[in-house]
Amino acid sequence: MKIIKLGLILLIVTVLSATSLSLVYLQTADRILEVKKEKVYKLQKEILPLAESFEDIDEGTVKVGYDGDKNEVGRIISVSPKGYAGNIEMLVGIDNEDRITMIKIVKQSETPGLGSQVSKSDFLGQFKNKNLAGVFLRRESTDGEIDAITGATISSRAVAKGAQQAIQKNIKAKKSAEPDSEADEKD
Amino acid sequence: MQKWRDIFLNGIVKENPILILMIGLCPVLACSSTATDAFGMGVAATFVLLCSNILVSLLRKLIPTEIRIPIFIVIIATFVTITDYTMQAYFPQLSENLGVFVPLIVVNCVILGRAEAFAYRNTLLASILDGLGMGVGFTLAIVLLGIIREILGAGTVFNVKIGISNPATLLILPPGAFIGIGVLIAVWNALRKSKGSVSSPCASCGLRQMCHSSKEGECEALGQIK
Amino acid sequence: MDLIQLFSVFFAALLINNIILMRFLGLCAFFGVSEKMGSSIGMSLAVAFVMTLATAATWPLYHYVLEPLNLTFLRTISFILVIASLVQLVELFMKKNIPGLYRALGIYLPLITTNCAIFGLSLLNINYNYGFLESIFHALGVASGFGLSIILFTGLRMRLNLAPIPKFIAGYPLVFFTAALMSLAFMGFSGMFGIH
Repeated sequence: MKIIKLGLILLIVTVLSATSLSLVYLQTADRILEVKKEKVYKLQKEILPLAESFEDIDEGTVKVGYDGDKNEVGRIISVSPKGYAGNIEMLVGIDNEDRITMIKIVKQSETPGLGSQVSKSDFLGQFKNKNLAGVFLRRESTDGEIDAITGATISSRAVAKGAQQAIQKNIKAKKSAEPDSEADEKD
Repeated sequence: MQKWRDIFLNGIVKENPILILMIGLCPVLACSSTATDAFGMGVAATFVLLCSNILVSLLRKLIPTEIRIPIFIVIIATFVTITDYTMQAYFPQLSENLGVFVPLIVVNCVILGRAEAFAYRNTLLASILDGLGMGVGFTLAIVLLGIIREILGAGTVFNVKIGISNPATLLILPPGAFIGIGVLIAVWNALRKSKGSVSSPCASCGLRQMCHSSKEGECEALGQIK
Repeated sequence: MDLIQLFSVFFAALLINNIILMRFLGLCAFFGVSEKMGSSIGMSLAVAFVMTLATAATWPLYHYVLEPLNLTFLRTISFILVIASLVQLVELFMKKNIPGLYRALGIYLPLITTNCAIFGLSLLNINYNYGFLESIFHALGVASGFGLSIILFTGLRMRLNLAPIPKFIAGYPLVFFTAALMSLAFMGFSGMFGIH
């Protein structure tokens, strides 16, 4: 008898708690979703400042940015080159002329204080407006215009490599899309 | 008046949960790499502690002794979830920085310990003061550690640059947390000139009773081995 | 699910993201029972046992009950209740049916009911979006990491007991400094095998 009574009390407490939690959840759920969406939008907007709206293609690895008149102004490509300690997840913004608008590091686990500096704007700012030939390390390519971070060549090279991959991926995607459009025109 | 003051100050000085009792250390070490995160964690834990103390004290006559621990856990978990969702909605950056340590407040021994050792046996006003005192003591310790680590490790405090050109990054990394808390406790001990203030890690753990401990402040596991 | 991925989850949890030295979970047990070798081995085995069991219970609970029913806001409360009752059940079962094992591990079980490492691990498995098998390997890796660090730490503490130590850092401050040096050493593992 006692056990049933105790169990009942525990049940009542749990039900009360679950009810109050569901109320809190209903109050905050919409806002949490909104905050998350806003954060993603803000990041994308920072990478492609000209774009007003974004559309996911290629399972979300490529985002196409459109301006107010629905014209494409550039794309955001996600790549994850191999760094010194694991992969560096980064977003690369590319405009219609295959130049980089901005790079953001989403996740990295490089050596703190050395490799981790690749996510600072001092380093990433160098990539702005560079084309494929430019996004190599200065010491590794004659056209390269990127200065590696002292003591963190591997991490710097990884980010440069990510930028190259993104541009190449974008050019390739455009090329494979072109024959179709030409075929359309002939018809 | 004296009595109320003593209850409040008890958690800050005499039985500071971090510096003296050394319980609930996990969030202190994990969330003190910046002063801002430390402050957020301190406020969140204080809120849960205060709310659970209030509710437990109000319901203390209705809660049967046999199932008080599960009921405390349900009460604490409810307030922790409320804190978690509120933080996600209104302080998303803080919530992201603290990560899994917000839901983990639920297993913080300080909170369960105060529910069991104080709120279940005392009046509402005393429990409120105890919750506030313990919460403030916890917050002071974690923010102090956060400030030290952020200044020496990143050259900023509450994200404001203070002109240290070559900070020791080590301090904001995991080893820095251990060094920081070690120095803090050593200094605290030296200041208090305490004679072996080191107490058992489960001295005020709420689960003491569940450990079937024979001696005060000594869990069965620790006791048997000794 | 290939084997290499499972092992990289295991080794990352064991060395690179060591639960104690890098993630600061389960510190009470780490500092509390690391004075004698026997107790730290017993504690690690009990933790490994409960971690695996807790993962096997909470992962299906989340993915087959809470998520389909849209009740994810009950995650914290249901996990903690499930883990606490699981430990109690295991304790009762052991006491009755496997008294030998109970004598060796049983006394540690109540200590880890509210151990944050167990609960934290269950949450991490969900946050990392691990599948069931990955979660189990993660649990094994985390538990081995706990065992590795607590056993090494006990060895160091036993040596330090014999050393002359200035009075104001004797006791807990010294224990924290030792943990700091171990944590520093474990940071050297980051980047190993290119996993993180």
